[in-house]
Amino acid sequence: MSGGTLPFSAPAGIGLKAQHMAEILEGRPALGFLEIHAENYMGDGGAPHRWLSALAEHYPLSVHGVGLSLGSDQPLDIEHLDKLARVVERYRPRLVSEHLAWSVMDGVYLNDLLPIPYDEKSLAVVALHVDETQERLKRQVLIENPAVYVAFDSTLAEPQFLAELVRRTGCGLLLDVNNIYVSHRNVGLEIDQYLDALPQGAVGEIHLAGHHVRTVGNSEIRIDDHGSPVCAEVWELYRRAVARFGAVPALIERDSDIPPLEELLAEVEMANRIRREEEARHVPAA
Amino acid sequence: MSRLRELQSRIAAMSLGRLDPEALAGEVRDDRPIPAAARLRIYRNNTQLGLIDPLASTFPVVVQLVGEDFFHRMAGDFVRAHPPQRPELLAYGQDFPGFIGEYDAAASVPYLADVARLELAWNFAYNAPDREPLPALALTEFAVDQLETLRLVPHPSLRFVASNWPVMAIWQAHQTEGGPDGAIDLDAGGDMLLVYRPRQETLIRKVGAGAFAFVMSLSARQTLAAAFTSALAGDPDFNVSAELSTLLAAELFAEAIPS
Repeated sequence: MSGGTLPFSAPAGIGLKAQHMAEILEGRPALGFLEIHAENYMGDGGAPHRWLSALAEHYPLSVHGVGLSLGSDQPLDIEHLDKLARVVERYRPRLVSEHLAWSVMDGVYLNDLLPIPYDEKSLAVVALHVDETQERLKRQVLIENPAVYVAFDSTLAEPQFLAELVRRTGCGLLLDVNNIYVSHRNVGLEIDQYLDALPQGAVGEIHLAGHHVRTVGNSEIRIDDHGSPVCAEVWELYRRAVARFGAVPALIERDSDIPPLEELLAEVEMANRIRREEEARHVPAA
Repeated sequence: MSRLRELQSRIAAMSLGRLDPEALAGEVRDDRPIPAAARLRIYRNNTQLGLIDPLASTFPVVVQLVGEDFFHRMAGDFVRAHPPQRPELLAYGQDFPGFIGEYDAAASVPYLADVARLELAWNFAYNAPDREPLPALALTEFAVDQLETLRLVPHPSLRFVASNWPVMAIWQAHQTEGGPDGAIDLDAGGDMLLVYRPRQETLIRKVGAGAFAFVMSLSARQTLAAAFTSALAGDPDFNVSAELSTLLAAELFAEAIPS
């Protein structure tokens, strides 16, 4: 399914946080786009919409859903999909994304991004739900790879699962390089061939975030809390992703311990610099 | 039931503390140094925190009144007993005030549940639909004999809060950094409050028993005459013309519908 819009290759952006809104609106820092969590804008009116409408005059938007639960083996919540559609119609974002995960079961919403086994059954469930979502929104959505703490006995590797999902539904991918690294460290996700296993044209956005290291017994586990700067290994993986997927908009994601805006802008500049360096390396000078 | 669905059902139960992670450990690969059950507990922890945090955002004064640690325990008990049914966290916590009212450990703060009711009303008004309020002089368009049967519709953001405690003063005292400046007189009597957002700012308006009954009646789509009768039951001295112009000036209404 085509979104019918031009490819979006803006420079890096940030996840929009309430504490930065006034500063962004006033100072208009150079940001390629702003990303919002769809669920935060599913209220009818009030300050959230007032701020976002004002910011949307100056920046392209990306709508990132967290509640659709594409991986639940039960029918999609149509009411929630309608609410997502309303946010998308209201703000006409350049990108719309959701997760390869689940969060709803037995009439309970868990507000977490839980993992699925990678097999034919899960593929059928997720592909059906991605089809329904793209049909309702009348556009392509990007699906994000998860950060996991457990893995199941699976018949497919994660990137093969994602590649097959792209093939079946025409969805795009939101490649979270921090999640790849976290899953690599936590459950041994194979990292070296990961990027090469994904179809080259499918990646429409890249997420960059920090995580924290927790010790359990004598071992480390990495918690994907978006609460710290992007680490060196993740920047390196980002460089490899840019080399493979080209000029894809990157997002600095920070959802806890929100720092002053200037710290995020420094990470935005870092992402843009890496992209320029990789472009210079791969495009021969005229 | 498919295996996937059964697995998800069990993980959901584990995440809400209804199933021991050890019972699920066999379902996940256990080939890492940290045991599977310990890694499953991370999901349990994240889920519960992920539901407690939105409550802390909706009920910030309750958090201040009982402290973060107590709030965390109380909200944790609530989310395990009453998890949200749908992904609508902006409206999560409708049952939290009632839960607080019956929470034994919070019994020493008898006004806590009503403060939570006020915060819930405030949160509703904050996210309610935007709607231009009725101008203060809107009723001058109508002939005097039309007024009795007029239906005056309150703003869609309106919520009512009635308490035996001075919850408005308690709420206001916790709106500044560092908490209240002086002591709040808990014997100051109860509050009848209208919480609404006519424009950008969410307002809390304290009214008398007559005006409270009057607006309640109007919000049930009663006529002005019927609402006046209700108001008199709450306050025999209710002065309808004075109260009405005050409420109109306060931009409480959205629409006037003649019969």
